[in-house]
Parts: sequence; structure tokens; C-alpha cells
Amino acid sequence: MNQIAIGDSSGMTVIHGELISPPYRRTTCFFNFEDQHEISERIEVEIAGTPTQIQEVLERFNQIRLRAQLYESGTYYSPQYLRFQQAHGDPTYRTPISNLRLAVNREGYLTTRKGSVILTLHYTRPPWFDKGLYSVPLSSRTSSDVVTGVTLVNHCDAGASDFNSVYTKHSGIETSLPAPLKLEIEFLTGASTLNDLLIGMYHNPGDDRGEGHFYCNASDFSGGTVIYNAGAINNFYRSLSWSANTWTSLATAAITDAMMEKLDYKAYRPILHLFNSHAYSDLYLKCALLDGSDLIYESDPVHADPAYGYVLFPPLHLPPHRTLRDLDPKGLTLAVYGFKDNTSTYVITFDQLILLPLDYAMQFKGFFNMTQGDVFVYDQASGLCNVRTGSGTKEIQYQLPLGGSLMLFPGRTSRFILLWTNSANQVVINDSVKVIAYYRKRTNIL
Amino acid sequence: MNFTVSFNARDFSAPIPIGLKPEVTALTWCAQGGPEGATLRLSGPLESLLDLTCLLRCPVTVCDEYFEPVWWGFVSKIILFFEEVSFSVDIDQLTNHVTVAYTALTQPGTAAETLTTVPVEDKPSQAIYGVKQILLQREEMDENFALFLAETFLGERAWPKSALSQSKAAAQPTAILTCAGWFETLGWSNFTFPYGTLANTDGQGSFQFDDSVLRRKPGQVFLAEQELALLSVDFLLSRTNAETRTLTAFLYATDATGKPSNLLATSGTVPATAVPEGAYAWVRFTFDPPVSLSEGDSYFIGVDANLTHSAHYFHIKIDEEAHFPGGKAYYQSSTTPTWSLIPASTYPCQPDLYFKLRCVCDSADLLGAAVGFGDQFFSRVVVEPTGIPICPYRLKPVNCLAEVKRLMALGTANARPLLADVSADRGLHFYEQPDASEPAVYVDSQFRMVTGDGVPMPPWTPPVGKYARLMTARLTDPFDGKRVPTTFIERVTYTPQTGRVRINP
Repeated sequence: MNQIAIGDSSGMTVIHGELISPPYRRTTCFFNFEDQHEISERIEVEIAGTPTQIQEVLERFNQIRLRAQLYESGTYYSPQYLRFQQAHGDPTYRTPISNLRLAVNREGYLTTRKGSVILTLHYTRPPWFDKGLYSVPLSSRTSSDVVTGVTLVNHCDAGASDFNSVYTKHSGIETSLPAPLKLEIEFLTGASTLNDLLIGMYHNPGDDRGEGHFYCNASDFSGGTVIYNAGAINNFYRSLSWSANTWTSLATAAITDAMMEKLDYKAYRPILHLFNSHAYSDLYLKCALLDGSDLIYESDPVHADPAYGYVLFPPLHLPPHRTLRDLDPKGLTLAVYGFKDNTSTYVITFDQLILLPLDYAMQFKGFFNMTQGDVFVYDQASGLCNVRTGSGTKEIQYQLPLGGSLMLFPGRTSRFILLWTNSANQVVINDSVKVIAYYRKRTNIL
Repeated sequence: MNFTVSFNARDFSAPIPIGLKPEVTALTWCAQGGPEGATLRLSGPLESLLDLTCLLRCPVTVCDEYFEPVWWGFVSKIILFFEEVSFSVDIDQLTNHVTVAYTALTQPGTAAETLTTVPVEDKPSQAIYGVKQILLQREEMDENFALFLAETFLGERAWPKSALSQSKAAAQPTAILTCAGWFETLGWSNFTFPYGTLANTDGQGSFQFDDSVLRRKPGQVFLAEQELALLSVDFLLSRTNAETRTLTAFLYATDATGKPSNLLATSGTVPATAVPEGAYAWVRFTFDPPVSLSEGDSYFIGVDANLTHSAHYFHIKIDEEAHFPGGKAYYQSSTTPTWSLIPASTYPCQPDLYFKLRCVCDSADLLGAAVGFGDQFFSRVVVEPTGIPICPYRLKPVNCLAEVKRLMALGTANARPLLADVSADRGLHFYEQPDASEPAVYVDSQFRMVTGDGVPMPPWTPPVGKYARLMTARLTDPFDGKRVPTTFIERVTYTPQTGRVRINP
């Protein structure tokens, strides 16, 4: 090991190798590679110097221990890290340490006077080392490997710049373990707001597989009437009208064999984007999958709240069953069913059904509204998010992170789809954001 | 599974960031109410953990990694362990609306009157935690005693109480949050439904009818205070001869002057032999099917025989002291027909009849009414009709949740109990328990659960309220003859740390 250091961004103390300074002599690591969430380990730091120098080292390590404690209680800004460099000039790896405990060798109280002591630092750490923050080159319909930000709008259709997803090429991500993302999302639209934010990720080996399989436009459906409107996603919306007071199939769309193959047995959250909000307080909808006319799966029903311009269905696996996977999966029909307990005629309109991928996915539930120029930042490594307000000099929390995690998978292309709502729970399709992404390369063995 | 837990303000308006990451240690769901209980463990600095006591009654939602809510309810108890102290705060004992039902002091040999105090309430507590009612039942006291008892009880219970005890030394400060499902909050209210029966059984007097065409169809006008269906009416009758006659009850609408107008329904006939001669007895007339009454409308309910004769007639007991406040007694005084008030012979009042009306409604309507009393937090309530007509009359206050559970156990006309579920957006839905012969869930020998469609079910979205069939190599469905009974999944507890799923523990 060329160098080992300990501390945080306010100052790292070299305790081994290159640039070490007295009284530090060397450090021995006793790594533990158990398959656990948090690993217990220790390092032994050999110190040789005057009693005063040794005392200063002890004080420095106690400072590190206290800072680690304060960080865990939320009153210090950064975790304490152990940092490793394997060879001169190589990048460094670091791992956050917690639950620190200090000890010295048994005869330390005697050897200190003679100018030496072995300091043992017991700690716990996660089972990885990360390599710092790197830009993620993002590609889209209109750009390739951009690190300065890609502009997305709040929908996806045939329009040249109408897309709400970006992807990373599998060859552009260098990490041994799934790597946590850091996202910066700047809200660009004036006279509008960003409240809730949904991010879904889709991983696949090899090249990007496009985005078409995540969207079913109104014109792809059967049932009801399709109507042209320049304000709709893809210029068309579908009007569904029915009066039965039983579960009624309202619209169906074919998920072709090719689409199903791309959907790849993963989980998706169907999101129905309503063209116009409805006003029914007793409307329930559900998704179903049919093979021909045979119903093979149906989701739990959801209440279509009239206060929302979209409907979030429960996650759906596509295809819904685990199979031998000897062959490609068969296409199915996706149906939307509606229910109400009266025989009045109800009309709902929608222009797209989005299949938000859930390989990794999160919802950021807003409790304040972002406005133009605000930048939402989420750092998966800490699990925390903030909003840099318009001036960019102060931060505040506007959203609560819900769901899993946002990670880049080694050797895989990752596409992430964004969708957001405004303060009135509407998905305003032409609002836009700029996305910049970073990741922390991770490895488990140095 | 990496669960995320979010807390909301008590009015559901905004999330509350707590700065600590809760660990979900147990989740329980029940077929009677959906999410039932959850325990969360949090570690961190003591000051931050003490702040958690402010979360009492705050909504809590547990989401899976797809940000799909899997459990939801509210924080009902917080226990802190630090050093050698255990400190807890809970909402169970909180009561901010107290009423005392008591029997009054009486002279020996006199019947004790049962009275109820006006409720005493703590509005600030109600504004924070919601209304939690209690009805205290006490014997033999005067009004002042009952009122001051209610005040004292409220003073002691209107705000959360804490408990302190010594505990085993904690390695680090820890908080355990116990959460309860929204269905439980139905138990925070009492329920009465003073509708469904109407009666007048007091006073002196009688009226002779059917001895002439000028004295027919004596009856009583009453006001329908609720939308119910009339099932039966009882009159106190006697006869003179007339043993070959048959009697029928009639329901009329009333006109603007309060007199009978249009005939709405006729009861089944009763032979006159059911009426005693020389004495009075209650005689019941039943409407099949029950006749719907509209809320706020007045009706006339009367009785008549098929023939009149000067020597074969009937007597109906009337109340010349006019105890019934809702209407007057009329009879048909000509064949035109003309309706006249039944005259009093001894008292200067307009008489009423002796009568007992029994109304019914679908038990789902009563269930809806009971939920309406206890509904403080639900966004909507859906009750599917049960097809069971019952009399809804509940004069004595009962706990809403107890009444709801009683009606759920009553079930439907298909002889199946009702189940209830509360959705993540707090929609309460009552529905019929499924058919036991059609299991919706299959459990294999590794205790994996799949739907009837073959879709795996993760243990954090358990199939409560459904029937499960054990599926092994020898027990398959439906092809073998070795059918074992299906298991009704009434309650499921999932422990994320161990992955253990306990069904009906």
C-alpha cells in the first residue's frame, strides 16, 4: 500500500507510506471480508516519537473518534474516512468508518515514555471502498456522453426534443460494485413548480435498448375514441366513456413480443397520464394483462384521485411470471379497467401510459415547491437530498426520499426516466429540467 | 428489503423529516382493517430520539424499494431506552371527550332513571390528536357528581401520559415506535342510532272501528326521520265477535294538511282470531318486502278489517294523553274517503294510537352509519350491500369499532363475514370474505406464496383476507383427491430482519 490516511475533508492524516511524517511510522490493516452490511475491523498504527508527539497523535485520534460520533448524531458535517492508495499516482479509495474505539498495546503506558506505542483503532465500515465522485457521461436522443447536463422535458413522444430519459453507456462506467449515483436536477421552467419527482432506472447488458418500450401512447391503445390535440403527448389523447357499474375494460394496448423481450421480466410502475383531470371521487382503475382474451394477471385497484393529473398503478412485472427463459417471452395485451358503483356515464381522457422501470427507483415526495433555477441534489451515498435555491448559495430540503436506491450497475447500460409533478399534482408535459449525474466507483477488495 | 419510512404532519399536509433512519422490525396486517401494527427501531443521539415523542398520532408510511406503500397507519406509542431508563409515551389512554351515563339517586322502591351528562371536551387536545371519546357507566349519583367526575376524568386523560421505569442498560439510546392502523381509530368514538323503531305505549283510551263504514282505518301519522324501510307495525287490538274477518295494515302518504293521501302499501293479512275478544293484545302486521320510507316525509299507518258490521267490530287502544310527539291519530270517517281526527273522550288532547313500528335497513347501511360516527381520518368509505335487513335502532351508546366488528361478523346474505381494508390513501372498504373453495394464494413447501395466476407475492404485501392452499407434490389443485381445507389468512406478521412470515399468529 503506497499510502493510508485517516480523517475527513477538513484534513487527512497520513498514517502509512508516502508523505508520512513522524511520529507515525506505519499502519497495519486487518481487513475483514465477511458478507455483512457493516464489517468490524481494526488497524494498528505504530507511533514513535516524543511523549508530546505521541500525546498529539492520541488527541488527533480522539478528535477523529468524536467527529465520527458527532456525524452519527447529525451534528458534524462529514463521516470520518480511511483512505487508501495502492501505488504512487494511483487514485485513492476511501471507506467511511464508524463506531470507533481506541486502544494501545498493553505495555503502551511504559513504552510511551520510551518513545513508541502501538495504537489500535477498532471500527466498523460498509463492505466497500469508493473511489470518489466521477462525472457520469449521459447520452440521449440528441447528445452523447455529455457531462455538463442534458435537458429533459416532462414527457416522451416523437418530437425531436421530447424525451424524459437519459442513459449511460455500459462501457462508460468503471466500477466493480453497484455504484451510488449523485444527481443534480435543475428546474428550468419559469412560472411553474416542481414538487414530487419520480426516477426509475433500467439496466441492461450491452448497448442501450432505446426508450420505446417504456411508453404506450394514446394512439397505441384500442377502446374509446382517439382525438387529435396539439397539447397532448404525441398530439393525441384517448377519451374513454362508460356507464357500467362493474369492472369494465376501458382500453387495451398490445405489448408486442419485441417490447416484452426488452421489458425483460423486470418490475415497472404503470403511470397513466391524464390529458384532462377528471372530477370523479369514486373512480377506481386497475391494470390487467391478457393473453388473447384470457386474463392472466390483474393488479390491485387504485383510487383515481380527482386531485391528481395522473394515476400511479402498483408495480407490475413484465412478463408477470418467472419462466425457464429458454425462449423470448410472448407479448401480451395490457388493459386498463375502470370501476365505479353507479351507472352514470363517466369520461376520462389520457394521452400516455408510462412503464416506469423499477430496477432502481425512487420517489422524492415534495413538501415545498421548487421553482425555476432551483437545483435538486440527491446523493445516494448518504441517502440525503437537498435543494440549492436559485442563488445557488444556500441549501434546504424540499423533498423526502422514498423507495430503494439509485445505483449504476457495473458493465450495464443504465437508462433513467424522470417524471415530476407540480404543486397542483399535475404532470406539466413541457416543463423541463437539466440533469447532471455523478457516481462513486466502488470496489470491495483493494 | 430496504424499507423507507416516512412520517407526516397529523393533518396529512406535509412530510416530517426526522433525520434518523428507522429500521422496520415487524409489520402486521389483518383481514379486519388492513394494516394493523408496525414496530420501528431507531438509534441515534438521545436528544433526537426525545424529539420523536412529538410524532404521536402522526401518520406513518412504510414503502418498499419501488416506493410502493406496504404499511400505513399512525404512531401510537414511543418507548425510549437509554442508559438504565425506559421512558414511554402513548396515545392509548388519551381521552378528550368524556360522557358519564349514570343512574340517578332514587327513593327506595322507585325505578332509577338512567341519565347522561353533556360531554366534557378538551378542544386543544382534540385539535392535535383527534377526538377520542369515552362513555363512563356509573351507578347512583346526582348530576353534579356525574359532571365533576367527567371533568376530573378528562383532566387526567386529555393529554398523552408518559411512563418511566428502570431498564437493562442500553448499549446505545434506542427508540421503539409502535404504530397502529387507521381502522383502530374507529374505536375512538361512540355510536348511537335512535332510529328504526317508533312506538307509543302509554296513555288511556280506546277507539271502536269497523262497526260502520263511517269508522274505519284508524291509524297514526308519524315522521320518518331516516331513510329506512318499514318492516312491521303492531297495534293493540281487541274484537267484538268478528272472528271471520281478516285484518290488514295500510301505509299511506300524507298530504300538506297532514292527513292520509295516497295508499303506498298493504301488509299481509292477519286473521281476526289472532285478536283476543274482551281483552287487548299486540297484533303484528308485516310488510313483505319492506316499504321504503323517505327521510323527512310523514306517513300514516292504519289498520282495517275486510268488512264492517254493527255487531262484528274491533277496538284499538289509543292514547288520549297524546304522548307521541310526531303526529296524530286519524280514521276514515266516510267512504269518500274523508279522514278525521280520532276524538278524545276524557282528556282535552288530540289522541295518538298505541303502536310499534319496526323499520329495517341493509346491515351495510348501519355499518356505514357506524363508520360515519367514528370516521375522523378516512378519505372515503365504501360498504358493499350485504342483503341482510336488520333493525338499526341503537339507543344506548356503543363503541363504534365494537359495533363495526359486530356487523362485520354478521356478514352477508351469502353467509360470509365482511372484511375491511384501509388503502394507503386511507380509503376504507368493506367487502365480503371470499369463497373458501376458491383459494387466491398457494403456498409451497418453502413457504413461498404465489397468486392463482402464478405471480410470486413478496411477504411484505401479504394476502390477508384471502384463502390459501398448501401446495406440495402431493397436494395440488385441483387435480388430486387429497384436498385439504384452505386456510383463511386473517392476520400476517412479517419480520424483515429474519424474513419470517407468521400467518394467523
